[in-house]
Amino acid sequence: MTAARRIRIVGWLAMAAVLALGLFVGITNDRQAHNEGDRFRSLTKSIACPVCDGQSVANSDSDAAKGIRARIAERIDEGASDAQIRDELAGSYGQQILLTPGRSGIDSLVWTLPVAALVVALAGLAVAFRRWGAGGGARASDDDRALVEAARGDGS
Amino acid sequence: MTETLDPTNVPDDEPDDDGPEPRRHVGLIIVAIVAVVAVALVAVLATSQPANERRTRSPLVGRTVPALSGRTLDGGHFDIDDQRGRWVVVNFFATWCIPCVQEHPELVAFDEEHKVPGDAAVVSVVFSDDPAKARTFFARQGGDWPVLTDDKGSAALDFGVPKVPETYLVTPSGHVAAKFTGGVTQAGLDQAIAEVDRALNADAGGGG
Amino acid sequence: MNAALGTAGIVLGVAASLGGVVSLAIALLGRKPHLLAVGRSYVLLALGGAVLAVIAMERALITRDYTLKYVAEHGSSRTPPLYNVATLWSALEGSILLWVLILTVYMALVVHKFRHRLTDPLVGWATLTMLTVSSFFFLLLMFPANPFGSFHPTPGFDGPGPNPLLQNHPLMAVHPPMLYLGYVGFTVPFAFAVAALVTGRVGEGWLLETRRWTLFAWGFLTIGIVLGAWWSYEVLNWGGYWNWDPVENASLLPWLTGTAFLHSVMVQERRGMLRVWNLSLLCATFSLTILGTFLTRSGVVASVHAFTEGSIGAWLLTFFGLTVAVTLGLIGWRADRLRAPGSIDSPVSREGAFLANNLLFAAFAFVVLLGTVFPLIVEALKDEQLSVGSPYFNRMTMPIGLTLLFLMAVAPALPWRKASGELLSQRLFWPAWVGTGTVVVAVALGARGFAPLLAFGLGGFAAGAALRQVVLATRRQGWRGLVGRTNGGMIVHLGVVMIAVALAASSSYATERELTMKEGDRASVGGHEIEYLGGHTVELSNKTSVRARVRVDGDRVFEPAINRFPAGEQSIGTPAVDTSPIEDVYLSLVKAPGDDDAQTVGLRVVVQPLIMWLWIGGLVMALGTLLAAYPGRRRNPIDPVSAPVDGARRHGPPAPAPAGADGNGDGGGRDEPEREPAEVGA
Repeated sequence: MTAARRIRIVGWLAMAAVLALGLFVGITNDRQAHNEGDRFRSLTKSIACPVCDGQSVANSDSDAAKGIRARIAERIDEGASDAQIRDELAGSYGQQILLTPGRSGIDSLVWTLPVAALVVALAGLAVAFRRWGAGGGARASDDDRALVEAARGDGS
Repeated sequence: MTETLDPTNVPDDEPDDDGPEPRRHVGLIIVAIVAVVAVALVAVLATSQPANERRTRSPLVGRTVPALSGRTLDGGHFDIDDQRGRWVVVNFFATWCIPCVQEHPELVAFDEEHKVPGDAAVVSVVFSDDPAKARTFFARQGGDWPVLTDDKGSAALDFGVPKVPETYLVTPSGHVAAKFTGGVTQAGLDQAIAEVDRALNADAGGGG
Repeated sequence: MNAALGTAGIVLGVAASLGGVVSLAIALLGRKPHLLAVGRSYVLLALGGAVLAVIAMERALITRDYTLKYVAEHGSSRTPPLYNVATLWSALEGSILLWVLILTVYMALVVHKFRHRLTDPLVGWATLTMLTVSSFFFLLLMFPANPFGSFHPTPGFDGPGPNPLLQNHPLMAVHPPMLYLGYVGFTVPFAFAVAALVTGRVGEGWLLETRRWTLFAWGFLTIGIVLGAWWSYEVLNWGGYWNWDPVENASLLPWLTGTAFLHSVMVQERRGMLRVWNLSLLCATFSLTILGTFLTRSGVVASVHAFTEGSIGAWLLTFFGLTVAVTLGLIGWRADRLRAPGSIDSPVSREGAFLANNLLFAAFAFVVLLGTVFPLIVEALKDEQLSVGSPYFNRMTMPIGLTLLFLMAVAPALPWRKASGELLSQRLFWPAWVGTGTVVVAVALGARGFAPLLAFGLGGFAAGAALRQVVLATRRQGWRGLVGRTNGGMIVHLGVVMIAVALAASSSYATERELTMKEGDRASVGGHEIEYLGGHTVELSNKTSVRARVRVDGDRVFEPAINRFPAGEQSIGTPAVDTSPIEDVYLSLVKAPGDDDAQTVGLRVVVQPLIMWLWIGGLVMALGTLLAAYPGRRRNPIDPVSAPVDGARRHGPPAPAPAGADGNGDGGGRDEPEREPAEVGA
């Protein structure tokens, strides 16, 4: 029993080593990250096609989308930054051309609300577990047990 | 599966000495929160206009007009900066677009009305269309204002034109005063000019 | 003739549904249970009405009866037969008609299944609820979405046919019905949830009754969503399959809450806990199907899939509001009775994992809902316009998805109540090695980047955990180790892993190029040789197709096309895909040969790995759902399913754990060595 356990511990350690090595190679040898093509792709995916409903310019064959794609390629060649290109397009088409909502003012709510809700839910769960842990079970009264019996009966 | 449900199995639920009261409050608070959120959601959805009727505001309105210059159909050169001192109507159009064809007579009427006083000019920009077709179009439908063949579509991008027809009204000082999506009318353009004039005069009157 | 027949059907449906609601209400409120049996007749009448209306509409479509406005607007003599039948669901009115047909079929199945218990108030209230829903949808057909409006065709009139996007791929014939089977199917468990709340019988009984209905609805919705993604991939011409479009989101929302329910319901069956939560999930799922229908059909959000028109939005929104109000009221009213006995001992337990699962699915649904309606909220509050698109959804849902994968790996190994480190170390050992091996193999094959490698590793881990469960179960029980909820669920998990890995691979390692080619030109994209052989034009009854012949890797020839439909002047690109289990080469025409008189073609080539596994994963999920629906171990339905209350051991002698209460799932997948008694209630 203890031998088997020891072997398993060694196995887990070996696994951690193999995994660390694999991930290390996989992350550090990331040779083709962030080339121009990737930039173009991610930019065009974050700009809405102004004539199509809810598609990005990367996804649309409409003339407007083609025009914006050409403009983005041109601006990348001219050395403009992603933020510059986005601002320019928002300046002529309006904020709704950006598929990524802003991070300031009311727009930031779309980013923060889910995180806040998750934190509140986790806190609620933590409180619940603490109550359950700290003798929550002891609170089960006869009524409670009757309820369970009833529920089990009902489950038939 | 025949006697599965027995209706008499739930005992009375007298509140326990300490348990249910706070929990009940928590439950009711959660129900209330969900209710408030749901009401707000319904209110927002109920007051939202359909996507295709929503007014598109141009961020350009109130700002200096983007650069617009280039060769015209008749071989001349046009630059919007040379037009300071009079109103300019910048019209994006294509011959294949039906509302563009429909609005054209209104533009012709507007142009004729203002040609003699010289207080307003019209310029058209061809939007993803063949210059030759545009020439035939103007020959057939009338109108002899400058027509820019914006072959690369860069003017449309600077103005943020998603689809045609789209028309911008530029003040004599070179600021974008209004944007019209869909067809324009002579009366609509004149009215917009009058409104801006009135606002400017009111400002000037208030200031002096 | 067709109009008269169809209108008669709708009138019959409205009358039967409303009549049924009234008579059942009288019987239930007047406590005359013997009258409840009439509910069945009303349901069958409503079914008759729906069938009549659908037959009339299909007949009109097939015979091209242009005296119906719907046929005049969406039918055409040029439409091929398959799409002609599918025209029923290619526009607003017809889609509601299909909805009503499916709803009444479900209702008829319910009253048939419970034919011996129609006088039970629970079944009565459930029938009443379903009849209320069907009244609403029949009324939609009568007023805002009447498909049988008349039209006066001029001689020789021919309709435009359905939207070109909807007659470009045979998947259009199956994707919407599947989606609706899923959407509408959730009405059944919802109706039983409402009935349980009204009658106060909130114990586990109704759950057992409706579990399989929920499972089937969920399975159909899964198939519908996957087919929808496939349709997008094969039709929309851009090489993607999911765009976080509001309509796609609308179908995903009930799927997320439904998935959460399928998991948390096991906690209720096993431990009697989470009752409010489970009821809320069912009510939320149903409400979200209505909200989704509203989003799709009212036109408040812009979407390629949306049908926009008319006042139907106000109707659907009102119904959504009423549903939420009624269910919230019921839950608030019954809150005390729903109070859960017992407690969860440890977060590191099966029920703890289900809680975490629910938290994540709820967060997922919240992100999707918020992102979908956020532009409307901002516009209402600030009068400003903005968009929320795929970059937002991808960034927000990716961590949730990865955490869910992790949970999928760990949860099947967790025992109920409490887990020890030793037990986990034993059970997770081989699955974790599978995950590690996946990472190593992926790296060796050239995969790079943290996020995709994490996804592959966790995917391998989860697949290992699911396989371990299935292998142990089949070793013990033979073929029965493949069926039942737990084992079927593990097969579903395998499908989910395939989809997750395919998603990560195809989105991380896509290569995309736009080529301008002359006849005979060659180019290399992502290691594939592309040769343009020339173009040609094909005239079909409903479209003109300009095709480019493209040879891939010197082998097969593909023909991406641009189709022009005479009616809409719209041209729709149709891609051609060289598909294989390893990699898809997606060819789509950006510029047709012969445009601009130059003999060049504009070709977009997208190379994405593992795409095929998205569809295979969907198929495996469907198969797993079927296996999960098949009864596993033959269990006496009267077996107690709840574990003893925790307090019992303090107040009295420890109750012996019921035989089925402490194993590794109840579907017969329990494997002997894992039943360490030390883990139970200690």
